[in-house]
Amino acid sequence: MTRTVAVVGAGASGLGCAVTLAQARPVVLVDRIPVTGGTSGWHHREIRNYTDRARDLGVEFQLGRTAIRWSDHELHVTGPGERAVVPADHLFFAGGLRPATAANLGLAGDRVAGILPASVAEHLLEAGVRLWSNVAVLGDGPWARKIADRARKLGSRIIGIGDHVLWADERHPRCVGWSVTGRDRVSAISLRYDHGGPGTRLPIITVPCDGIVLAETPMPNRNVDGAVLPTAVDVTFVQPIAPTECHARFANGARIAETWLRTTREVDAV
Amino acid sequence: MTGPRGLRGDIATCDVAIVGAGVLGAAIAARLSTTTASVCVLEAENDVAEGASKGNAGVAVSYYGPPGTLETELITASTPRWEEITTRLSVPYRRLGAIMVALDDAQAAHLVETRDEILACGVRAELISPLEARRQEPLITEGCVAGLLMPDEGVIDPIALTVAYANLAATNGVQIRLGSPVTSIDSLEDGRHLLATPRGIVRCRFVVNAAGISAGRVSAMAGGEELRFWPRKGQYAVLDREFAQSLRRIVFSTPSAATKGVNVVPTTHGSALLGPTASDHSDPEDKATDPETINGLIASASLLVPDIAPEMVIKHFAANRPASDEQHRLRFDSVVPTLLHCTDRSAGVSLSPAAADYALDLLNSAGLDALPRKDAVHALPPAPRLRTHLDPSALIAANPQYGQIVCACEHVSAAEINRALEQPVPATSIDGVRKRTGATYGRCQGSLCSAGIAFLTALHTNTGPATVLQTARGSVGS
Repeated sequence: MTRTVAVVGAGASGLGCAVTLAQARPVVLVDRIPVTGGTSGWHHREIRNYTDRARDLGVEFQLGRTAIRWSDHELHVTGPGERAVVPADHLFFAGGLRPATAANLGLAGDRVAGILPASVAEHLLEAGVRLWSNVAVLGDGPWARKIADRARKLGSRIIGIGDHVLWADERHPRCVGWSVTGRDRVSAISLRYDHGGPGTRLPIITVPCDGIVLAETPMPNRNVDGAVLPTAVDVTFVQPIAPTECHARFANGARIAETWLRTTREVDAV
Repeated sequence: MTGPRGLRGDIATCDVAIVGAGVLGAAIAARLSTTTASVCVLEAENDVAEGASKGNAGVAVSYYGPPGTLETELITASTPRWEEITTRLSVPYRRLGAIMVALDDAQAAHLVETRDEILACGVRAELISPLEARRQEPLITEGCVAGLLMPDEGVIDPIALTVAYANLAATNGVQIRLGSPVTSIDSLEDGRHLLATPRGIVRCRFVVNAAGISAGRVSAMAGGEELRFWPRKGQYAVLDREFAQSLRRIVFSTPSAATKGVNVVPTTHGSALLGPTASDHSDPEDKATDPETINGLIASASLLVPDIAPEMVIKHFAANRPASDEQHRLRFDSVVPTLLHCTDRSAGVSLSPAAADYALDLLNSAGLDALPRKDAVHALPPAPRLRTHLDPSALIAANPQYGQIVCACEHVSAAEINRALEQPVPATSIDGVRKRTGATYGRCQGSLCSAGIAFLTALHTNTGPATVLQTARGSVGS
């Protein structure tokens, strides 16, 4: 069996794993986009430092390639015009986080245009695109504040729904159920409360809006077949919700990799 | 040019105008397109397959009702043809077979009646023991007291089928006019019809009314019979394929007098659909889900397959099927002899191949005189998917874009997305790309990839990041 370890995700967490593992094992580091850094960004000073260390330790970079399947100790990877199989005896999956989906959130009602995941909204707002007049930001996850600030700069009024939404122009506390109304696109969101909404005794309030951003609970991205469920064989998931700072994520990845190395050494010794 | 009623736009003349580009309208268009008849399709929405054809469980059934009806006859005639049709049109299809599960003695008795009815239709069915049912599909509940094996049932991608019919029709020269709701139908002195839409006028000899839930309105405009339709809403939940791909067969609940019941249906994408529910209402635009129904649906499905858990659900949606007092129509109007009605309560996909042949026969017997055309195209270019292809390396070698994954969850490549945006009836929205490729259909629901798909769609539709269509009706930004 090969001693190679595969790491998917070249953000701070994946780099933390790769740098640590590379001190004892051959390491292949795969990422969908052609640069390291993940959500920290390739230009981040610490990321560049970690990337240099990984390179110095002999980590094999496979950037701009997508890992699609983990089975029988092989990681299947594709890139434009190519397909490769990386034999490895363990996979560290550091694929980052995504916002909870409508199904994850129990968001009911109409499925119409104007509902965007926070990760997509963030991308469009960064490009300076004005998307809405009145946007409801669902949740107070890590994207919410940033999206609210950017959207406001581009002229949108922000409706915040969650317990920590002081940054919003109109605020509604966390509710027990939410539902979208709209025909051609979103026209309102209804919020259901157990004991009446704010300033009202009605159990349901309806808030007009022309856009909805899903910015609630971060969830782990899982998109490599065979490395999705917690029961996946010979896979370590490195997708912490906290910490969020680049160096802390790196250190967390490094610690998890170190523990794994120590454990496998003990098993080898036996 | 200015037409009657001051409407602007070209007057197109054709033999047959088909109103509605759902699976039945598109199937008839594809069938007529291989003949000498000239055909135009008028679709109200901005894409094909926007009604019941995109909101169903994706089962190509072998049996749907008692023997002796036209509906049953058309289903029975279509069933053996799926392998040939789906290969020719490059549509995902798998003849998985189904097991209908009885959970108590009353249901077991009903299975016997159902078996007799299926056999009377000339279709295969076999009563099996609980042990055999669980051998065939190990995920079936231990509470199963009897099973009915229906080996000829299959799963199909109903949207891909509708799009493929439309693509074949367009390839053979059929005009497919999207965003063209029919606003009036006038009769001319020579017996022809004049159909007005906001985007032009069509003059034709025959009108095929395949407008689904709107078919009553179309018949009324044409001066035809009073047909009554109402929306029957079905809600569905989609299960993550990491679990669903272990399902081997379709699992049906035993129907009661009131409803066909909730089923567990593997999809051609590898996920599974739970559903549908059935509730009659009055607003065809109402496609809202509600948490109580979805929770009930998951609970019902887990009676059949107990491993199903709420956290496996990656999406829920609702759609309306056209309920009517006449469950199936494929016949000329009794008042307007050149108006052909073609509607079905629920089995449109399953009977579409034979219905298209039958529609052609009816039109010919009424004087269409369409003859086979020698230069007609009968097959579409192969449209392989990276994820399900047996030899991905060969695909990537032939087209490097197959190696470039855009949708990470479903492993949909740039090659597939560009093909969807460039085909004869192309995707013009992010949702149109999803309908044609399955991109954004996975567990992250586009959190990762819909920006990239929006970009590719905007490039092909000459729109921008805010104006690109997210659905057939609405843009990303407002």
